[in-house]
This record gives sequence, structure tokens and C-alpha cells, in this order.
Amino acid sequence: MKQLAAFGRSTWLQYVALFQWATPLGYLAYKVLLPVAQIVFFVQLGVFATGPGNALYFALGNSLQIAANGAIFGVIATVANERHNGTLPLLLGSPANRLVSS
Amino acid sequence: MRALVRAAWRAFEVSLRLRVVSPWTYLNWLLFPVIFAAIGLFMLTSSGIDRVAYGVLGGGIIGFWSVAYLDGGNSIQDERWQGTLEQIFAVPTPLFVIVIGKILSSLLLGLMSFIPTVALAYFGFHAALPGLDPVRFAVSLGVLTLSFFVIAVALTPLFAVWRWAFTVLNGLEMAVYGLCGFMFPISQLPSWLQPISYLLSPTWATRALYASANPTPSANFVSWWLAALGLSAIYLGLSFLLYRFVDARARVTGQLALA
Repeated sequence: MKQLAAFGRSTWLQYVALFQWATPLGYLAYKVLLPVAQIVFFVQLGVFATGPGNALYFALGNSLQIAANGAIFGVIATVANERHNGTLPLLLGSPANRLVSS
Repeated sequence: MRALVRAAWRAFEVSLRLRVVSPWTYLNWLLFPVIFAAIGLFMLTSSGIDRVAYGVLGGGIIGFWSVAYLDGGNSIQDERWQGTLEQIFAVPTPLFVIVIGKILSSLLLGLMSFIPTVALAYFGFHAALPGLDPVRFAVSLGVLTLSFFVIAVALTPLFAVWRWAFTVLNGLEMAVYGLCGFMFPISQLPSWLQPISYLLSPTWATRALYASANPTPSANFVSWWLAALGLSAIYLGLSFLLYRFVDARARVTGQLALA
């Protein structure tokens, strides 16, 4: 139960602090506007280069890349940001389980 | 006046030194543009000679924009994290003088984005721009640089008063690539989006840059340069109001570092 609580607290704090998502506007810009704009940009680039027949290919490819980027980059950034902020030694020194706190 | 120039020069010098040792900067002017250039060149070199210019120059323009606009603004965010933002506001030197110094160092490093991208185009894809008009190209690049400079100077105070400004403006970055036609002409965009492009000064400068790299009979360089310069002048006028607002807000709320 304690580990579940630590997991919940860690998740919440990382949501608030990881990408400086202090406001819903920032969250929407980063998680909605940026991915949609990226898909539109690469679809238009692909259509410009190869014609409209490949638009779906570019849209799906970018969706996959964005999903992978969110998962991989987010996890890596949790540790990198702790180091940058000088809190990595505190995190490693705490008795919390490594798996649930990161 | 000499004191202000000296202050801007010092801000430029310190900012440049910090950037030279920052891995983030190298990511922005070296790695990031090369990735875009490689994608663009891979797709565009086989789709006709008139489109090669977008592959050769597109990655460089994107890198230039990213460094000028985001890295410039981020330097203010860095002041917040380092606890020096209050000092910058409290010193007798006006904020815009310090910002100008920081942005000029961003522009210098941003211009370097063209070196790896053009090298990749030439050595990696054997892509060149044989029809390039050097004079018009140089003027268009100068106008593009000025338009980036004005936008960066105008938007940077937002980073000082709102920490979420970086996230929001970062979220808009990809949209700007498309709206300004950095890697494809804006005629590709839906017709309802094109009027927004016309309100952005880099759109006109980018159009002139591509027209000078790949001569087109219908090109109207002077009109495009004037459109970019006119819009930049309007942004500059609005930025004066923004600087006054930011200065007043910082003093009234007293929440500069925590804003």
C-alpha cells in the first residue's frame, strides 16, 4: 500500500514538474498542438514531395513516432531532470522503491 | 547610447560563451537541422529540380528559427532557473538591451545551421543550387534574419513573466514551420490557413529566399521584402507595448522568479 502511495505521488509530481506543465494551456500545447502540427507538417511535406497518394502513410508514421517519443523521451527525462535539478542523489538515497519512484 | 551598446555587447559576449559550452545549443544548430535536412533531401531530391531548394535550405531555415526564437527565449528561462532574473530586471540597463545581446548571439549560432545542412546536401545527396542569384539570396537572407530577430526580441519578455510561455511557444514550433513555408510552399496548406501565413513576416522572407535560390519568372522580390520588413516594423511597435506591460507586471506582482 505504501509503495502504491509512493507511485501515486511520484506520478503526480512528475506530471506537474517534468515538462513544466504548470498550466493546462502548456499541457494542451505540448501534448495536443505540437503532435497535431507535426503530423500536418510532415503530411504536407510528403504530399509536396511524393503526391497526395501517400498522405496516410506519413500521418500514420508520424503518429507512431509521436507515441514512441512520448513514452521513451518522458521516461529518460525523469532521470535526466532529477540530475539537472540536483535531486538525483536524494532520490537514490530515499528508501522508496526505485521502480515505483521513477 | 554608448553605455547601452556596451551592455548589449556584454550580453552578447556572455550569452555566446555560455552557448558555446552548452550541449543543448549544438543539438539545436547542428543535429536537429541535419535530421530535418536529411528527411527533406531524401524526399525532395527525387521529386524534381524545382523542389531541391526546399531540401537544401529547409533544414537550415528550421535550425536558424529554432535557435533564434526558442534558444533566445530559453536564455531568459535559464536566468529564472539560475536565480538571476530579478537582477536583470533591477539593473539600470533596460531589459530590451540585454535581450538584444542575447538574441544576436542566438542569430549568429542559428546562421551556422546552414553549414551542416548545405554540406549534407552537397556531399551526401549531390544536391546543389546552380540557379542561385547571390545578390537576391543575400538580401533575402538578411531580411529573414531581421524578421527572426524582431520576432525573438518581441516574444522574449513573455518568457520572463510566464514560465509556461516556453512550453506554449515550443508547442507552436512545428506549426510555424508549416505556416511560414520553411520546407514546402504555403500553397500546400489548406486555403483557410493561408491568411495566417500572410501575417507572419518570415513567410515573405522565406518565399523570397527560395525564389532567389531557384529563379522563378513570377517572383516579386521587392514586394516580398517590403512585406517582411513592414510586418517586422509592426511587431516591433507592438513589442514596445509588451515590454512596458512586462516591466509593470513584474514590479506590481513581485513574482518574477515564481511567475
